[in-house]
Amino acid sequence: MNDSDRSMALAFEPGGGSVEIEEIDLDPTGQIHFQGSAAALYARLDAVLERWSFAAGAEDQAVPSTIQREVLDRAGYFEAFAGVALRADRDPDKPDAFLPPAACYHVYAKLAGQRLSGPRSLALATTCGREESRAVDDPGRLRRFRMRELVFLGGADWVAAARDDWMGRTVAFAGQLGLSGSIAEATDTFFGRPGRGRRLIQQIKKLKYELRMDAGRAGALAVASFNLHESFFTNRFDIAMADGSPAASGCVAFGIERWTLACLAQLGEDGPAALRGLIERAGGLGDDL
Amino acid sequence: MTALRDALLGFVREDLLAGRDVDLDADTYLFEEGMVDSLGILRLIAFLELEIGRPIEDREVVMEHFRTIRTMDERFGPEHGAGV
Repeated sequence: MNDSDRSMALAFEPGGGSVEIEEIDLDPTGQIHFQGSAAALYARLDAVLERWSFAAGAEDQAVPSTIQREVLDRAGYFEAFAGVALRADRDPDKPDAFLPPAACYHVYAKLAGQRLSGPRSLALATTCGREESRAVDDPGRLRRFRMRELVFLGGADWVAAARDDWMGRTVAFAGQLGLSGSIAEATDTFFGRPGRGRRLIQQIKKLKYELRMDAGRAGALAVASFNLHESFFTNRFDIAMADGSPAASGCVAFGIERWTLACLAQLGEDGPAALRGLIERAGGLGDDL
Repeated sequence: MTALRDALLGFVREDLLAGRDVDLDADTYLFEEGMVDSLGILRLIAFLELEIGRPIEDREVVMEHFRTIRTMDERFGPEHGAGV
């Protein structure tokens, strides 16, 4: 596929003004406790994104809350992101368990060794954990947060088209909510050992985009990322197409707390109550996008 | 064939491919054919910088310029101005 086929509008129009975020408490362990209408907003955003992926025909996965060391090892996570994974269980009689740093690792582990008869889209959500340096006082950089993901497996062109399709849908959804933001090429890596070479390959091949939004005092946040992994995970987990051709993977990840913070910051003056109707209408429209 | 194109063909064939039997010409898609990995791109940039006598900034490292040896030559070769 020619990369020019993947171009799209890179920004959308601003919505309301920025207001202070209220109704949130940042827990000392790096998690947010939403209350009241902010909590309702959080739940509805998550529900709309879930309904949206279901309507698009993605297969649901309900996954464990922790992931074993051997899965992250096989995915090369510790080589790429030393010290970032959060240990979940210190029981010496049990295998090392971590909070998943991204939801999609569960999918690669589950499909390991399989031969796919056709392309697959899988939907899942879980609490993810990362050791983030600014976690203690920064609501935009949490140590534990909810990630909803769509994972795509299939031929490389199909995966790239699915990624781009969902990037367009997400931008449209944000626009319907009246949110301002922009799509940007991401400079951090989703997989593989970080460094200039990895970053330049990512830049050349347009492997990772982020949707960034202003979230008031939380700053500009990446509320979603749109990733192509090429054969990185499928090679490591021995996943291929049944006809013998190689399989690629990609994913779209939504940070639910960050979406909520951006909505509260940008649209707060309209009140989260007003947002409920907007979200439900946008979610309904999303079925047809 | 320009001098830069010739040099790039030689570098990719002998260094990046290191003798692998791959059809290569000035219009071969270097990235979609999987010839250049994260280490390879750094070596390619270092070679190109030596050839053209100036540093290449990260923002110039995009598919438009690096897709093929011909596009690199068109962007960075002296015949084409090599503007930043």
